[in-house]
Amino acid sequence: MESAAVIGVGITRYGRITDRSFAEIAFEAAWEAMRDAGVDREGVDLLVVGNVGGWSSEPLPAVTISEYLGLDGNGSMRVEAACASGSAAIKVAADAVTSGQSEVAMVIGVERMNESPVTNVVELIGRAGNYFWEFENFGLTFPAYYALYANSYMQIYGAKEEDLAEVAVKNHYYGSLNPKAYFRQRVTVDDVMKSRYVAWPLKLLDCSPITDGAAALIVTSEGKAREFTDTPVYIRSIGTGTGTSNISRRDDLLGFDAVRKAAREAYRRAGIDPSRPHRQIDLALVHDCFTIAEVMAYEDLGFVRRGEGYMLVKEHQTYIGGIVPVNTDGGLKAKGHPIGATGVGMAVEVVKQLRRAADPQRQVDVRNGVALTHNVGGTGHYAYVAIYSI
Amino acid sequence: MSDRGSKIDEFIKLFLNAIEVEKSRRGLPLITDEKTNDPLFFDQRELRLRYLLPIKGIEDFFEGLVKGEVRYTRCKRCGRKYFPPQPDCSSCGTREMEWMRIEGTGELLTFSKVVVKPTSYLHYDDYIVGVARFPEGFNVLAWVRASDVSELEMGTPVRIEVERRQPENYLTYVLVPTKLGD
Ligand SMILES: [Zn+2]
Repeated sequence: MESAAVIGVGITRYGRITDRSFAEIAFEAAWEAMRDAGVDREGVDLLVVGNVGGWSSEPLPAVTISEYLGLDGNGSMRVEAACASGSAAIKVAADAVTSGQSEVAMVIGVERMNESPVTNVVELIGRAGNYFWEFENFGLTFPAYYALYANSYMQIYGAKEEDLAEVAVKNHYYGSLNPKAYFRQRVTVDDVMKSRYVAWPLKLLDCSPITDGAAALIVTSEGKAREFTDTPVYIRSIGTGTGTSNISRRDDLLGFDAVRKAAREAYRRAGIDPSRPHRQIDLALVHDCFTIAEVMAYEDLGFVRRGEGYMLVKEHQTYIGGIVPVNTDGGLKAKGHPIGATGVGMAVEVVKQLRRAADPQRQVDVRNGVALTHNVGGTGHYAYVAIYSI
Repeated sequence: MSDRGSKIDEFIKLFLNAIEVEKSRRGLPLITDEKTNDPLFFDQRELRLRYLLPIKGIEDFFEGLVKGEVRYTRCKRCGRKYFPPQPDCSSCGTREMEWMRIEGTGELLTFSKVVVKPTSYLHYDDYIVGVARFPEGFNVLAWVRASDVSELEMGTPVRIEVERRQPENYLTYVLVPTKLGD
């Protein structure tokens, strides 16, 4: 089957943004992507918006954005897959262009989380499990969900809090090299260990920040891509999976079945050897909403055997120069995690890296011309794994 | 009970007063962001959310709580057991379920202490949540009755008990560590 092609990308800085509104940050990312693709606003025939909202003021984000961008009144929708909404939006657009339903589609991921007080944001994300059985009575929070996994993982595999901290050290290092990242300062294991507990055993510096930001892609079919650009990046496959709503209904709390399923599908359809996927890819952008999440991602994606993920980062194997560079943009941890924008922001980084146009100190060596994104919604509730290539 | 909730109420009151002063001065609900000095419009519409949840299909669960029991459902056709209880069988698509009481002693699989809390939980002290595996064949997620995570480990035996949650004053359930041999 024909692939979809990304022909333009745009991204705002990530952070706590108080000078631009919801539509205004979408505008920045979208117009940058249109200029990059050489597509004008009349040329976009489908708008797919990845956004979760609730904490921000626009309940019909696709409509608000369509008007503000000056699009032609063509079809639009908001797509929700929690923190993987951006990847879900990419899937909708990719399916639309490969099926011929759309010629040129725009994907925008956008979130403005800082329009609400912090505790309300903590509440709204905490509600993103099973509402009645886990939130109503027990007040689970997003960090607490991942803390349940972290505690289980550490007890069974013998990893320590210091080992998880290595993920924060790596991702803050790359964040320091990314002008668009929320956190630009480097941190040490000691800094992470000294930060206060948010949900034991996870500490503040184990967590990604509450973030505002937007990212955009222009997508067309493989056959049409060269009419627009000499540097298309193809979406070879998008694998998907869904976990149980109640985390009490999972066999173990050491990794995500939904991700393993999504990875198997993505690898099969892109011709990646699932026993050594890292040998065929030049970089991976994984969903490190918490440090433990990146460690589990290594294992769920098959970069290492189960129980050995924490060793990979400890041995610097996921820095540039290791077996596979991971989160060269700073990841969710340092670049930031504007929920609905995150998956689109990962795609933007992948496209820039495969075009060899990333910031110089964090440009990976492009040998295979293949990259992976891993975007998880909730706590293994939604999973999207995608393979991109030049 | 934590006094954190009342401190936050106090902060909100000060914030709202400042807005009122600004409105009477210039007629605009504008504030200046503390960190960036950017002007922000303070939304004049407040929405309070509470849902009405249908529970007719699991009414037995709530009747059980009143009798001090925590109940689950079992499919009469395929035998699959459900906790949280549900009146429909996800395996065979039927609605022929029977109600049973959780009687066994579970084992803690994992736990965490929630320090940074959601708005509607700010009035509680830090709380411990855990997931326990029960011999009936399912896991239960609930608060764990312990004063700190240091009292717990993987495999700690727990029983499930009904408790009246305060200050809301309603019945729910909690995992209670038992001494071995209890
Ligand atoms: Zn059944």
